[in-house]
Amino acid sequence: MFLYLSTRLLRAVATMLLTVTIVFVFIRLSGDPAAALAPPDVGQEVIDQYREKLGLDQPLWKQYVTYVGTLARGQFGYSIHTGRPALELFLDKLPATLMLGGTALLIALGVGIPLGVVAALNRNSPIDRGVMAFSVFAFAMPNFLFGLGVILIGALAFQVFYGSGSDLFSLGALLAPAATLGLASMGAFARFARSSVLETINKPFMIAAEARGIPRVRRLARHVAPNAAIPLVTLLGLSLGTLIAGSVVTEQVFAWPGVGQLLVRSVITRDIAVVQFLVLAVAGTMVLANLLVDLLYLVIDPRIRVR
Amino acid sequence: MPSDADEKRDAPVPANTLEVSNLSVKLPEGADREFAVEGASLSIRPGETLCLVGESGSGKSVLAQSVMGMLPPQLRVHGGEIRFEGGALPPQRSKAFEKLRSRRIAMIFQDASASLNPIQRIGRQLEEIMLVHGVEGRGERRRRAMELLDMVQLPEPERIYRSYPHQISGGQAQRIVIAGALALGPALLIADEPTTALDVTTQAEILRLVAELSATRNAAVLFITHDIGVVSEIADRIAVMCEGEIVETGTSRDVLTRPQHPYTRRLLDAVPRPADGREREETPPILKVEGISRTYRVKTGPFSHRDLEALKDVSFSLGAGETLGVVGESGSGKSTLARCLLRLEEPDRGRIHFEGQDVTHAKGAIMRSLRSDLQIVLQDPYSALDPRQKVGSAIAEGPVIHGASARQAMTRVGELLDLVGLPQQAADRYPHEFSGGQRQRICIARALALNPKVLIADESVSALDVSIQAQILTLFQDIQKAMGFAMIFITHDLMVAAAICDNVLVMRHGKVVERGTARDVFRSPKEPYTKDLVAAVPGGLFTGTETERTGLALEEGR
Amino acid sequence: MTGRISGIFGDMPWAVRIALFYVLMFVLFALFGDVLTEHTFREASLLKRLKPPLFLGGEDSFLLGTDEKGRDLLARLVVGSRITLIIAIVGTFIGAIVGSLLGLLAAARRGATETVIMAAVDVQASLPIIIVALFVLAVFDNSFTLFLLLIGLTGWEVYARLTRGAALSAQEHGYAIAIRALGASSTRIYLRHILPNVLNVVLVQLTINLPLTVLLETALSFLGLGVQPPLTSLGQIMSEGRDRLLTAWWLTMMPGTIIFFLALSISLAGDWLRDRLDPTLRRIRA
Repeated sequence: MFLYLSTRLLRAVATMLLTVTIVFVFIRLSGDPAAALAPPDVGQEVIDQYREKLGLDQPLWKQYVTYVGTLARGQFGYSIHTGRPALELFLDKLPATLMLGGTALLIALGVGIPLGVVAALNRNSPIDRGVMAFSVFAFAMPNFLFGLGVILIGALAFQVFYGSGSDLFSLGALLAPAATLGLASMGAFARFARSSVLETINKPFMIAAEARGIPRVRRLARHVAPNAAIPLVTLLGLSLGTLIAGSVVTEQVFAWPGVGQLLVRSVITRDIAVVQFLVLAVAGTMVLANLLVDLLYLVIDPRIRVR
Repeated sequence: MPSDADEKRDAPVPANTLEVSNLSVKLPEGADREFAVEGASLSIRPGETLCLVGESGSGKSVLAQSVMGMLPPQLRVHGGEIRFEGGALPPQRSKAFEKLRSRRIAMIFQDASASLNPIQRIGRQLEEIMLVHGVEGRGERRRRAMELLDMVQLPEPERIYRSYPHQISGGQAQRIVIAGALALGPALLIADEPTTALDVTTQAEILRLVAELSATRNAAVLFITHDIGVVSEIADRIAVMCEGEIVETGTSRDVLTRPQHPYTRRLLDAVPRPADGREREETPPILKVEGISRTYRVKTGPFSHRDLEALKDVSFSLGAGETLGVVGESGSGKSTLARCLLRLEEPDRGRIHFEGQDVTHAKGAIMRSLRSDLQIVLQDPYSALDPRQKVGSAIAEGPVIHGASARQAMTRVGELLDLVGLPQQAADRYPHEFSGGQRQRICIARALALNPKVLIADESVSALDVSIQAQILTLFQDIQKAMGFAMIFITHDLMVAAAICDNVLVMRHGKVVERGTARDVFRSPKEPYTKDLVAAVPGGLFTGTETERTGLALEEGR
Repeated sequence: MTGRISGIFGDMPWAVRIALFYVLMFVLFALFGDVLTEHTFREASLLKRLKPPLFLGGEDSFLLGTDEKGRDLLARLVVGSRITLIIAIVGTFIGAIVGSLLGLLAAARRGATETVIMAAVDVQASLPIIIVALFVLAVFDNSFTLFLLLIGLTGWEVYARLTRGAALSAQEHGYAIAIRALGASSTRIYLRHILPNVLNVVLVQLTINLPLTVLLETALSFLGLGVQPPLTSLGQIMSEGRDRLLTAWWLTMMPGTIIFFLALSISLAGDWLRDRLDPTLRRIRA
């Protein structure tokens, strides 16, 4: 167990460090970082001061060390667009994204997993085929198309408009973007749940359990479910990436004032400080999430927990 | 409140616990034959052990599944019937059958560890059987579970109770599964190859356990196996199954000593027997191994590790044309030895001499010529051939690597196919078109293509059915006589080693424990480990004294 | 080998047939669709702005209507499809080749090489490709080549992980050991024996990745960060029509539907191919 934890932790730290390095390299390659990271609308001498302060006149390796130090102290630069610190902007927009992402995940889990389980238990039936067809549809559907389609149909059929910022916290406004964002994950969960359940049902210990006279319902609830759930935990970690990627586009489509929208706007306006921060934030979130998944495995899988 | 068991005890005992009459199970369309089981009949009395003998594909497992009511939906009972304790059984896969399973009819399988839920503790799984069949009270169930663990002679039952399946050995797992099966005192125990995957010493213990426990409970046992040794050890009666049909039944003594059906005779003939008449002249050694050791490092933490000594100071010499057996259980180091000899790995210490030359760390041209002199045939014929490569190309690959032209190579392929008894057209086919035994022939042809002076057979017949095994062993011997190479035969099956080896090395935990001629080592072992190993071989065919059941020479002092 | 291929195409379910047919139609449309209209994709006419498609009462020279600048939608869809197709195919192959080679290298060399490559895989795995793309596009100027390379990066880490895993397990397979004992060099074993068996895995991943490539390209173009005017792609057309969603819905829905069915068809065909390839190999034991 100690080996397991320490290797995972080491890998997480190494990944983060490598990401920071790559971001550093790219920004240095692109031009004058001092101008990019300093507050906007300041004179050249302020930029020069910034350059000195950020150590950009130092040799490259020293710059790197300073850079990492700066990040570690929580100084992520200022947005060109608004002059506000990047961190502040991010924290401002975070709740909206969390609400959207959280709801999307709940929808995906709540619909996807039951569908997958039902499909597995009725293998090769029309239900099974329907669920598989659905999951392929969900995978192939571009989220911007789906989002726009929902808006269109909503507008035409129900005279409902999804404008920016209107009634942000009402269920109605949340439902359409959350469903759009969660669609892809829904399909993935359904497919994965189906294959996990099918695989578990055919394992030798299930046949042995049947031979012990354990009734079907109990076998499914007490033996299939816990075993089939374990690999789904990995999928949960992966789906975070899907949700983050999806929210970039979905927030644009629905004009949802979240981090995704912030990112797109910052890219368009070349607001390097903000973009840099968001990229590192995403990487940090994913690395942390994967670490949590590994920890979760320790809890639920005794084969990893005890030797 | 009187239980079913009490009532049954007081009622007149039916003649047969299990009676299968003319059972036929139909296979779905497109299978290689029409019936999985055809017109099969057998019966077992209380307290009796019937061994159902057959090779793979004989239908024995399907028959067992039918008795358990666990036939998969694609297979259907086409005719005949099964009667249990005088009465009919509920329909296949029905809810009513659930109540019978484990309570009246229990089944254990080949891979015991895989029969347990990997994420649940063992104690809990045992308790579940009782819970499901109406034993009330958590405390009562726990008490009974501990009793069971005791009954199967498991050391440290408290620890085992709290353990997970991955923390216990295969032998321990099988004991637990047996405990679970007998927990509620069933009248019939079905055992489907329960010892096939176990070491021979563990197998002996498990067989003893099953015999004891079923005797005390007067349970009928349907024991499915392909191992004739096991059969002669434990069977009261025998049923021989082939291609879905039961071709012969009878008492153990009758079937083993006076087999009627040609298939039974073939099966019994195929059992490897010690070849005592082997006299061999000493020849100069072509392979000499001195004190080789190999240790593996196993990581136990990011900065810590444990040393695993796979080979410890192993020495031996091999003469031209000699067949040397390397015998041992799993973990004895036999496979590591093979890899070191083939230079797939390097020993940490010691020397290997081939034809007088020190080749321990050979490279370049010497290595290349060594490669053509030392070849191997592996255990699993299904993974030993590249599925995308035609058979002819696979056999020709060795010569081609060593510079043969395409035409020379293909001529050689033709010769070799003849030598191993395969048709010439085989060269144009793919491995998946052949059976296990045929694939092993292809592997042998491939190994012989370079005219090796030493052939290593690493468990080459272990994965094959008994009758095929006999054919391949004969093939090895014939080819060896024709081509004159020396052979190192690695196996865990002492009977096989006794049948074809001149000399034998017995290995345990990486060390050579005993060595000598086959006759000496197996007939009069000196070391205690060797003695245990030999004694554990079921059937006593070794000690030259077949068991009482088969009515041959009486055993002295067993 | 040829025998096996025709065996594979034997009994295709009708859904897969339709899917492959659609893909074929799409490719033909993208390559030769210019013949369907007399207009070019850049030809603007202020008098003909926002005309609906023919079946909704538009003019017959504009079969699918016009956009905000009066350009023929059909002509633009043809060119857009072409660009999307090119980017998708080139991008997929870049990712497959780079990722697979890295994975094989990691498996063949082990040691430091493997550690470095897998560390890079870890980094990529913790950054969704769209985030990486956005970062690069913010830092550097958008050019077609850069964009193509970015799309090409989609999923390279999956290929790397897959091929490394497949190669490692193939190395331990009986035949790898036996052939090494015959005296084969590592190169020979890799090229002749391990690579062909790994190829199957790559092929299957290709069919999963191709739709993802299409979706990434169109998403970025939709955001205005992908293919830049005067060039166009299906996503780019959608981004231009987005403001007119309610009044001229055909400008977004038509390209969108084309994209959707393309991704869907490739996925269906890929699923089917995966099912066919696997059991053929497993049918070793009859």
